[in-house]
Amino acid sequence: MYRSISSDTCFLEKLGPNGVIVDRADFRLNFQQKLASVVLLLFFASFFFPFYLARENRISEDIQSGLLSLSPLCILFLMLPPLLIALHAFARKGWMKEVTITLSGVLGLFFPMMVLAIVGSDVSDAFGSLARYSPASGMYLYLTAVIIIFLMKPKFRLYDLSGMILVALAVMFVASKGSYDRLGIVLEGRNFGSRVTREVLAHIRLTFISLGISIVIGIPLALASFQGKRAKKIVFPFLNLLQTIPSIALFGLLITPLSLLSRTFPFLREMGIKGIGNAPAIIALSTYALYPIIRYSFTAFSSIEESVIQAAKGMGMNPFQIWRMVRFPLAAPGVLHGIRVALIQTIGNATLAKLIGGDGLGVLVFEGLGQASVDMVLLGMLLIIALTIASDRIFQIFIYLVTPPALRGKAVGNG
Amino acid sequence: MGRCALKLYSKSAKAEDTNLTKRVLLLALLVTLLLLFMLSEQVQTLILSFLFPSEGRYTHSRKTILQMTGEHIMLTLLATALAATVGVLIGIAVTRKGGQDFQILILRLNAFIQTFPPSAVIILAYPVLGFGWKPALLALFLYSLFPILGNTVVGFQSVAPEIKESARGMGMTALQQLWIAEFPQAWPMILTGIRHSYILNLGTAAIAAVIGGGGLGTIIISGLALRNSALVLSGTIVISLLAFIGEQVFLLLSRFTRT
Repeated sequence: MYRSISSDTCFLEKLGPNGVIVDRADFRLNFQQKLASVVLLLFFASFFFPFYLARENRISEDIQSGLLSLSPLCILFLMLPPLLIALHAFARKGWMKEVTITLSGVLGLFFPMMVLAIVGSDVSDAFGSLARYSPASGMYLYLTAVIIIFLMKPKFRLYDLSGMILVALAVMFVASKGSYDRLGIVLEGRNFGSRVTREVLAHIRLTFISLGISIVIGIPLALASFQGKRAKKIVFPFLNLLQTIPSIALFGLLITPLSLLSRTFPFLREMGIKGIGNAPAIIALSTYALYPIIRYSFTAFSSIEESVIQAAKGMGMNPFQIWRMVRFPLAAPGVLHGIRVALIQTIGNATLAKLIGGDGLGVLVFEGLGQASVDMVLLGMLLIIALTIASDRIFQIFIYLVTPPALRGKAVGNG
Repeated sequence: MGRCALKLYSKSAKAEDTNLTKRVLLLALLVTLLLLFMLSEQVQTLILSFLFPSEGRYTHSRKTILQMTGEHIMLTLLATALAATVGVLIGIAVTRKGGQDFQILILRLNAFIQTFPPSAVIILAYPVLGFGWKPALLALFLYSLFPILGNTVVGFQSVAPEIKESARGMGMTALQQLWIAEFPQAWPMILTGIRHSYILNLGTAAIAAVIGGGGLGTIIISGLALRNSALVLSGTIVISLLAFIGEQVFLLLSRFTRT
């Protein structure tokens, strides 16, 4: 009989007739096995949800298709990444572990895309030339499992990146053959045509103008509240109040005041400042971005230790030199971190500009919502998320470059 | 020395008590303001027409503020409560011996989710989950889960090892160690996480109206559609008051649950 020897181990031991341990069973899962069980659970769950939705035309009813309605080849393909992860759970050698996890991650991205391509021709064969289809919850769950595989990897390596690039190239190649032509978001993208590019550019413009204004106003305010108690007493309660106002409301609160202003002062109207359009959107976005910028900058400036300043004084620096050579470089990572948070937030909130007649990707999203077109909303949101992730990455590299080498790798305190 | 410390203590305790009275009074004031505004259409019209005299309409055509506030509170509290329950449980699990390996995954997932703006998470619920208040609730829950989870992990990590050791030395079981020794230490941090999530959810829930989630976003969006700032303000006032009330309630809660 096996029995446990103490409460906090997972060994069960089998004792021989004279109390000697004759066998020991280890029920602990190691790290790989725990990861594999979580990921496998997600993969398993994804097989019970519809993998894609097909429609005869843009407005007809959805027809859901689960994994089992796919061709045997597709099923085999989709089973491969879970299988590899199961193998990974029992891999003992280092290279074996790395190969199984990398392959299952990369193939987990590749196969769903290929299945979508194969399904494309089936859909147009079955439902005619107006048919369209889109990925559904099962597929999203499947991709979540793949994302977790990548997040669980101890290190994101060069070959992971090259694998992803290969997948992207393969997808582009398949797309050039026209395999994705019946995919809902592709069709919506075609319908919009050059408007998509225009709205992306408008979105970027909206974000950068607002962020610029907010930096120009925010950093001096942060410095003022760092230097004087009175400024802090005005700035911070204002920020706290601002934070309780939902972003969506801030846009609307400006409609009436701004249209009144533009009616009384015609020159403002000529500048484009009126109740609706891009101007109130920029004002609202830059006001909303003030919070992270001031908060993080203030924390960055106040968390510089007094001893560092004393040392600088001891070296004979004048106040101007202390600011230029000590305070600014040391605070820069924190300040930039605040700007990064503001950037992500502004890209997201710029979507809402459409609600007061502004441009940007919100146009796609809200027109899609109005027409109950899932594909259109998805197209808009995917572009926004791609924009967010891309600008976040670029900004992180920038932060790394301006951080003094001695401070690199240290966490930046958040406000 | 001892007397001096005692004196200091009683002084700070006194200061805290006056602070407490102030806090309770402020809370009462905020609640009164909210009730006045929420329950009476005359008050709404009076305030809004004073600020925006030129608007044609000061109330929503189909729903009262009371209804919308009810929906909004339900959505926010439900999402926050769900996120708090699940977040604290997972947070405890990954700070135990068996789950420590998952900490890095939680941290990376947290960082990954943070790159999605809240408005994107809500709107993305529509293509992925569908239309209505349930997808909105799920999106709010998912988005607010990670701040709570992160704070719970940090809270438990910051418990001094000596405390755990001495709890073990006293012969506590694992459950007793968790509940008697560790949890009270981690609690302030957890509560801060829940408070942040609540405030975040309150604002994000306003966007939920876009995907059929109801709540005060309904009046804000119809205000946007009608180019009527008064309607927008009326929803905003309630949301801001709810945020301030929530903050005070959480501060009081942390005051009374401190050990």
